[in-house]
Amino acid sequence: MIIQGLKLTLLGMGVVFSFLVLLFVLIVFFAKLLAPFTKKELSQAGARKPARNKPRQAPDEHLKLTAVISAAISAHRARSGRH
Amino acid sequence: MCRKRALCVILCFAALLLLMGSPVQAADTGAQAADQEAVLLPPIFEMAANFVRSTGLFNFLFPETGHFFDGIGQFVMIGIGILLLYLAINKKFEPLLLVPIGFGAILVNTPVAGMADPGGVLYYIYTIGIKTGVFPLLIFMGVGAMTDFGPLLANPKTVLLGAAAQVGIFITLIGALFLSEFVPGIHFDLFDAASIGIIGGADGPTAIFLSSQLSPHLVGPIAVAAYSYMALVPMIQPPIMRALTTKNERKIRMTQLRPVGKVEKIFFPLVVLGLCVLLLPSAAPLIGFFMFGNLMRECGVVERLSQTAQNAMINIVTILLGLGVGAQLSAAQFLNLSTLGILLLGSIAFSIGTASGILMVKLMNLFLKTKINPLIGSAGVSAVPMAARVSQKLGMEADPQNHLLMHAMGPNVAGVIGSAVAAGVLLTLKSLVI
Repeated sequence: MIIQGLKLTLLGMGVVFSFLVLLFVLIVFFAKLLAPFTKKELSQAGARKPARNKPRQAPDEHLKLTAVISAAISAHRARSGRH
Repeated sequence: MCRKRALCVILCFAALLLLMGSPVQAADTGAQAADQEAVLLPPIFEMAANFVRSTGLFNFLFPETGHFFDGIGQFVMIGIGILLLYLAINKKFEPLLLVPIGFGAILVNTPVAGMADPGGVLYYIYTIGIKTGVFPLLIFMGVGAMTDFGPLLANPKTVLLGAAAQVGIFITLIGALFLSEFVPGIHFDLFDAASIGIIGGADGPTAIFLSSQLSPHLVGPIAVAAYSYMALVPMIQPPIMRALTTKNERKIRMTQLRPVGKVEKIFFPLVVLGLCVLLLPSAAPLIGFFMFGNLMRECGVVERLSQTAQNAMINIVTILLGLGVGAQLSAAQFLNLSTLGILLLGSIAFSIGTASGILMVKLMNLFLKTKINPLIGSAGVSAVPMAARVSQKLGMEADPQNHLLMHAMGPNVAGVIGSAVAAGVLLTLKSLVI
């Protein structure tokens, strides 16, 4: 009975290893094959991100800041004008 | 006077009713009379005695089978059900599975109710979902929809760690045969041994699927062992991992993973399925459902199906699977030496799987320029994502800046594929045996 188990172990580990080694080879192969797609995707994603982040946030903050500063200045002027 | 008259009227009315009743009975045909006789209840004392005889308490003490230990056995099994509930609720041991399993164990051991006998609700849940292998496969589909193969695709070398950790399955198989050869009272045939070995795959659905196909009478103990040890991964693995690695090895930093494209991720499930179709069709149910779930996730056009597979459906099936497995925890099937053997072998299986994954990294490091941290080797025993978290924790212990989680997810998901492949090989036993 134990001999049967050993036979099964040899076959089983053989199949598991060869299956996953083949899978390794195929993953590497497909990664090379599909590299142009991946590159394109990444460059698109890379191009999108800064385009979204920079121009939107910067003017918003600018506008707010100028508004706050000008409000402060006008308030100060109004006060100093009264005194 | 008035009261007497009223009494008379009532008596007359009662007499009239009796008189009316008897001619109706007399007019009935023979069959109807027999029906009515069946409905008639026995005298009150006999009724009370019958009722007492149908209580759970009476049946625990004096079971129908006449064997005293059958009744006590059911009582003990209810205790085990409560223990499982305690572990799930208080200790947070795989609660999603152990709550339904524990409750199922209590229900199935309720005397008289016969919920797991033909006609009982648990019988149908088990027969429809587990005996056929449908539930574990649906769960596997949900797991596929939840799995991100990105870390594996970014570092394909780790696929070998998923293979190495399956050594535990086969060593345990041999161990089971050993036990049945040398320990009196334990008898496992080759099918049983294969089902016990798969506990080492640390993958609940795979273990339930394989044992339901090869040795259905062991489904209960095997599922309980598999899920209990998966819950115990954070306790079983660290001592082995520390023993097999030096501090310097644990400090090895791993380079950041490259980003993986969407197209690659869509191709991957199809590639694995293709390999399976060509080399190991017996693993097609497991790998097929796993990869189907993953394709739904990655293809991006069936978001609704993917969400259902990984949420609503996996939850529904988990409830039913748990109850069905619990239904297999009857005293006759659980309270014997074999169960102890299975629990013992299960812990050995996990330990060997952990060790072989780590040793495989050390072997690979002899040839590689960029070294791999051996701590991620232990994640090769599926148990997603618990095993990967253990790797992360031990890595942080050695070097607080060392984040291994994503690196460990690679061998972790490779382990799921590895154990499905191993299960596929063991399934061919059915056709191999002469």
